[in-house]
Amino acid sequence: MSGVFEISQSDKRPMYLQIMEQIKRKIAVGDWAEGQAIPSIRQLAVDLEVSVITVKRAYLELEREGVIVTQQGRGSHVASTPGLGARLHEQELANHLTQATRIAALLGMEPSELAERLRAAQAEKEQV
Amino acid sequence: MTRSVTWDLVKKDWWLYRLHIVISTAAGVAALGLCFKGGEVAGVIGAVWIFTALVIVACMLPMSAIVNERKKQHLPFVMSLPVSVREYTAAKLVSSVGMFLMPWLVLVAATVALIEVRGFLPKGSIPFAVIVLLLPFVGFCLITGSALVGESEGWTIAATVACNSSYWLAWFLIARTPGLMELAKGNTPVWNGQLLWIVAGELGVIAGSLGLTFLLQSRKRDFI
Amino acid sequence: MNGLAIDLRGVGKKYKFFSLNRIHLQVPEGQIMGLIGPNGAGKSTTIRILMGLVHQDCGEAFVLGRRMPDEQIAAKWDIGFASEDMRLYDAMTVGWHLRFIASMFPGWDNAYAQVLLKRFGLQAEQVVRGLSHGQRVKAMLLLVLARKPKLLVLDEPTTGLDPVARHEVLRELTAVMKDEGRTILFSSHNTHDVEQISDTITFIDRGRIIDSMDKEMYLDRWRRLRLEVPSGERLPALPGIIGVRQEGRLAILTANAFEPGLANEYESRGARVQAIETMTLEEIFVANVERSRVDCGEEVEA
Repeated sequence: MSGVFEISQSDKRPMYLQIMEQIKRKIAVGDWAEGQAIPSIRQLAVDLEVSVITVKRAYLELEREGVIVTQQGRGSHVASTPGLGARLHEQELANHLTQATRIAALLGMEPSELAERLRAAQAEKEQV
Repeated sequence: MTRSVTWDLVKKDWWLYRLHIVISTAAGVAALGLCFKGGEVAGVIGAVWIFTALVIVACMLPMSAIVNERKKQHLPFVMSLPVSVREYTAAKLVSSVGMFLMPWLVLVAATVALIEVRGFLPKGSIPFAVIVLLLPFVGFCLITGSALVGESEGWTIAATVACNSSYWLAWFLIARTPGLMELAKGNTPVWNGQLLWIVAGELGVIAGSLGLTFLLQSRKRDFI
Repeated sequence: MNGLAIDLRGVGKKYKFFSLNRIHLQVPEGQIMGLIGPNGAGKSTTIRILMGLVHQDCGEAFVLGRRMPDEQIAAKWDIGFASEDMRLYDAMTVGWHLRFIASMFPGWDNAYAQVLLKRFGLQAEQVVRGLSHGQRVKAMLLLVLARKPKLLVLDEPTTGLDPVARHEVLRELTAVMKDEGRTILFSSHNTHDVEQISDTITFIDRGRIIDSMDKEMYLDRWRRLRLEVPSGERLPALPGIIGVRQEGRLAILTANAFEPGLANEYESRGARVQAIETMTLEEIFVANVERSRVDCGEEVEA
């Protein structure tokens, strides 16, 4: 039941964030359906070879975001909100856009320039 | 579930150092054979061999079974088992004395038998043989105690040297005591008061050294 | 028992050149605690005291509810101890050691022992003398793992292991956590291992515990801030910041009690935040030790 997760050593972000991201991805692509049971905190910790507390934190944050639900004694499962997968994709896009805006600001780029770059990137994608 | 593992440790030692037991017994028996077969010169050589074999065992055994166990870092492994310092010490004393007793009993019994049966020495010398053969046993207990309490090669060697020097002194004193040597030449073994006192003294030192070892070990606060 | 696998209260020990200073350490059941510190910090001494191998000079030590060193025999039935300075009997085989331990402990799981032999690449017939360092370490760990003890006390379990062996060991250690009644305390100066599998981290240096905390909370509190100071004035170390390194207009601040408000504080003083970076446990470790040594007047601030 536990899917293929990989905690990267070279990724400088905290482990719990990586776990959260990969769980969200699994839900977004549909591997884990809405309402589906997911590995218990302990089980995932063992499978990933990380501390229980890290997985616990990831699950807590995911629960706070409404992505999963953990019930005492019943384990955890994906939230049964319809359209969760789509919402997660949305969120990912929003995060990337915020990142792009921030870096653009650091580089001193004008908003119109950023929009231009985005259009160019879309055009490139269509060509492929 | 909380049984004592002391006996497991004793058996472990007997298995680990089984060669010591076998070789020392074999060497002693070979020496006895020499006494049995040959004439007077061979008999003397054999007698010295027997004594030497016991002295060597008295030195080597504590080195291998006690000092080396610490040097080769086996002690944390043993102490990770459900034992206290007290139980470890008890196990070591039992296993060590056991390992020494094997060749020792064989040699003492065989020597006494040789004198009785073969008569290469007058039978009056039997008590003296026992007293002399007890000396390495006394030394063994002292060296074992030093090895356990002293925790180092240095202490063990010091004890070994002290004991080895003392054997000859003991022989000398016994031989020079007026009236004793005549008994040795007699045809029947005579255990008079003096001889009994000597044996009691030897056994006393054995018991005392083992007891003192146990006491000192139990009081250690930094075992490893 | 109060749910604590290990409970050290004010434990102290004085040696000629080193002393352990009133250590307070608590490890609840079901956790993995990583004990981290430089060489000579007192990790091994602390471990020896809680194993009853060394008698403390003051304070009380309770392991699995048993008072140490008085009740060490009872405690050790449920503790699996392996340390870096421990050696198996080299003339004997791996199999002999397995049988020796198996005959002593009723909790021995032979099926698991066989699995571990395979996973660790060991064979029962191998004589200990012929094993490489890594294989010896794994053999020793096998002996404690297959007993499935309630508490595992490991002194430097991954030191000197190649990456593959390290991975094999970490895998088995985290697998222990499947049972929430079991606990692990391990000491290491390999911060990657500690960061990866510990639930709680305890820092020890020169006989003193500097920090002991939930790992995630701990990693959250430490940040490196990269700031640009257009005016070039020296930035102050606000509460929560333990180190300021500034050269001209660029400053790097180390925070050990970070919260978002801190960045705003500096911005209101005219600095521009270029980046707020998380720190690896290794970086935290070094910063922490340096800070504590300065605090105790043991070293002069650079």
